[in-house]
Amino acid sequence: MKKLSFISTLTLLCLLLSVSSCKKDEAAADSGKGNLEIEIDHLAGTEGLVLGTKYVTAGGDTVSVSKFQYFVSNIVLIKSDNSEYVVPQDKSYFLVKESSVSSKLLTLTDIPSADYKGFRFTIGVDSARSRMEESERTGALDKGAAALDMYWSWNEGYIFFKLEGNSPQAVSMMDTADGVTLHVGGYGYNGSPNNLRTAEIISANGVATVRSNVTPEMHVIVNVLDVFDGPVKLDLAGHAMTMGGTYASVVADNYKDIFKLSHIHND
Amino acid sequence: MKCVCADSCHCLTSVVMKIHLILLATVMVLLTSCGKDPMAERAFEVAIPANFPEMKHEVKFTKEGFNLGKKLFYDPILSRDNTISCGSCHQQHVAFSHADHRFSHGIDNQLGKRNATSLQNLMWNQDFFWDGGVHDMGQIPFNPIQNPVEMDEDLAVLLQKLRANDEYRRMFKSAYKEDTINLAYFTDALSQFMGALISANSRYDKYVRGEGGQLSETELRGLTNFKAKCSSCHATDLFTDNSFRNNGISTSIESDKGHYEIVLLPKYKGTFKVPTLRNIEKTGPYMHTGSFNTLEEVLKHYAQGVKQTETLDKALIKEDGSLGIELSETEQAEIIAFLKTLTDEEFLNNKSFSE
Ligand code: HEC
Ligand code: HEC
Repeated sequence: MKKLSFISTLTLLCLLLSVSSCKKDEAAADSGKGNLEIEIDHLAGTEGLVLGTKYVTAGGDTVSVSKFQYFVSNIVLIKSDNSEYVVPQDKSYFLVKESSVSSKLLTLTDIPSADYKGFRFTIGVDSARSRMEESERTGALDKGAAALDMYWSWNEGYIFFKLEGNSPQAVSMMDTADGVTLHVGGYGYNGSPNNLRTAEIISANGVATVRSNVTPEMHVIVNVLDVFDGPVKLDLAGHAMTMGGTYASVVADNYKDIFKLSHIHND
Repeated sequence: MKCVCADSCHCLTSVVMKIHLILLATVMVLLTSCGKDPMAERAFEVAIPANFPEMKHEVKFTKEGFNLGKKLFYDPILSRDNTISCGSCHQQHVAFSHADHRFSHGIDNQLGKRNATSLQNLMWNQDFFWDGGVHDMGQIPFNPIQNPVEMDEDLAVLLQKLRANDEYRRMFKSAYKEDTINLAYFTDALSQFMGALISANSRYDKYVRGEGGQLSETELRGLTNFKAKCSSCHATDLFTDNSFRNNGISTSIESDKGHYEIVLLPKYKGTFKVPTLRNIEKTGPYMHTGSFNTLEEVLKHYAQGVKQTETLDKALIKEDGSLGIELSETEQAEIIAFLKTLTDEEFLNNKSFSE
C-alpha cells in the first residue's frame, strides 16, 4: 500500500513537473520550499501581559487574567500577488497558550517559496474536524494531552477560546465570587450558533520572503484588553460566567479582530 | 457475509461491518477467534436486525477490541478514585440502565441530575444523552469520565493509569497491533462494546420478523393503539424518531432546559430525546426526571397528567385544546401489555455482555 502510493505520487509529481516546466517560471526566484514562523505576543495595552496583574477594561471593570488560550487553525497564506497557499489541514491546528512560550511560536513547514503579505485563519476548530474520529484529533487537538482543558465532553466540541481571571465587578455563581470565565465554543451543530470566527492579517509594508534558505518571522500582537473592547464593551457584572451560551457569540465577535501584525523579519 | 481468512489470526480483526441497510436483510457478522474451535470461542455475533431502520453510526468490530471495550466498561479504573465503573450505573439485567435509581450516585456519592438511560442499539441513535449533547459514538465515554459528579477523571491521568497496567498494555496491543495506549484506541474499544449491545430478540421482534413469536389478542390491540397514539414520536422498531420533544412531564421549561443547552434555540427549551421503549418493562424509573416508577403511571400521565408549557409538543394537545392523549383505562392496559412484549431476555442475559 505504502509503496504503491509512493510510486503513484512520484508519477504524479513527474507529470506535474513536466507540465509546469512548459510554462514560464512565474514562481519566485527560488522554486523550492521553506518555512515560515508566526510569533504571537500577548499584551495588555502596550505592555506584555502579566498573569495575575490587574488591568482596567474599556467597560471600566478591573480584571486580572489567570488563563488565556485559543485555537488557531486552517491557516491560509496570502501572497503579495493576492494568490493563496492553503496550509495542509493536518499541519494547521495550533493551540496558543499564554502559559506556554513554545505554543506562541507557530512554525509552518514546507511552504512554497514566495512573498507572503499576510494570512487568514480560523479562531477555533472547524466543524468538520470537530466531528472527526478520535484518531484525527492529534497534536494540538489531543484532549488527553495538549487540549486537555479545551473540550466540552457534555456538549461535544472544542472550546475555541478561553480567558479566565478575576474581577471585583464579576458576579459569578461559582466557587470564587469574583471569578471570570469566558469560554467560547460552538461550531454550528444543527442550527445552533456558530462561534467560529475568521481573522485576517495583512501587512501594510513588507512581505515575508519564504525561500529554501530563508525562514521569515511574522510577529503578531494580541492585546488581551481588546477582548473586552470590541463591537460590545464586555460587561463582567452580567456575564462573568460565560461557558458557551448566547453571550459566547458576543465574546467571539469581540476577539475576532484582536490579532494585529506588528512586523516581519526576513533574516 | 463470511470472513475468508488468509491469515487465520489477523483477518478476524479486520472484519468490517459494511452492510447495505436498505435491503434490510439480516446479515450476520461472525466474529470468530482463531482458536482450535472457532465456533466455541466466538466472542459474539453482531446481527443487524431486519426490522431496524437505517443505522446512524458504523462501528468496526474485532474480538480483541470488543473484549478490551468490555473490560474498560466494567473497570472502576476509569474514575478518579477507582470506585465507579460504567457498569456501576449501567446494569445489564435492566438493559444497562440503573436499577431502582431515580438519579445515579457517582463519585463521592454525588447525585446526578438526570435518570440513567438504557444502553441498547446505540448505533441507531442520532444523538446521545437526554439532551443530545454528544453526536458521535467515539465521544460518548469522555462525558461520564469528565463529569465531576460521575467519574471525575482527568484524561491524561487515565491514560497514565492504563499505560502503567500490564494487562491493558497487552490487550491494547493485541487489539490494535501497536504498543500504544491512546484516546483513539481507548474510545474505539468502548465503542465496540457499546455498539455490540443490540437488543432485537424480544417476542415482538420475533413476531414482526415472522420468526414464530406470538402476540396475544390483548397485546395485538395494544400494538394497534400504540401505533395510533404513540408512534408519531416513538417511531420505527427502535421506538424513537430521534427527535427532541417536550412530553409535558414538567411544569417548568427553565428548571432543566434539556436540548436547548446544546443548540440554544428557544423552541427546544425543556425538550429531551424521545427514548427507545425496548426493554421498557425493566428500565424504570421513567423519564429524564425518573419521576414515574411504573408503566401504569406513565400511561396515566399521557392520558391525564400532561402539563402545559410553551414548548409542549403539539401531538399532546387535543383538537379542543385540552391536553394529553385520548386513552381509556382498557387502552392503557393493552398498551402496557404490548410494551412488555419488548422485553428481550436473550439480551438481558447474554453472557458475552456480562462482567
Ligand atoms: C454515575 C453514573 C454513571 C456512570 C459512571 C456512567 N454513566 Fe452513562 N449515563 C448515566 C446517566 C445518568 C445517563 C443519562 C444522563 C443524561 O443523558 O443526561 C447516562 C447516559 C449514557 C449514555 C447515553 C445513552 C443514550 O441512548 O443516549 C451512554 C452511551 C452512556 N451513558 C455510556 C456510559 C459509559 C461508556 C460509561 C463509562 C465510561 C458511563 N456511561 C458511565 C450515568 C452514568
Ligand atoms: C409528543 C411525542 C410523544 C408521544 C406522542 C409519546 N411520547 Fe413517550 N416520550 C416522549 C419523550 C420526549 C419522552 C422523554 C421525556 C423526558 O424524559 O423528558 C418519552 C418518554 C416515554 C417513556 C419513558 C421512557 C424512559 O426510558 O424513561 C415511556 C414509557 C413512554 N414515553 C411511553 C409512551 C407511550 C406508551 C405513548 C403513547 C401513549 C407515548 N409515550 C407517546 C415523547 C412522546
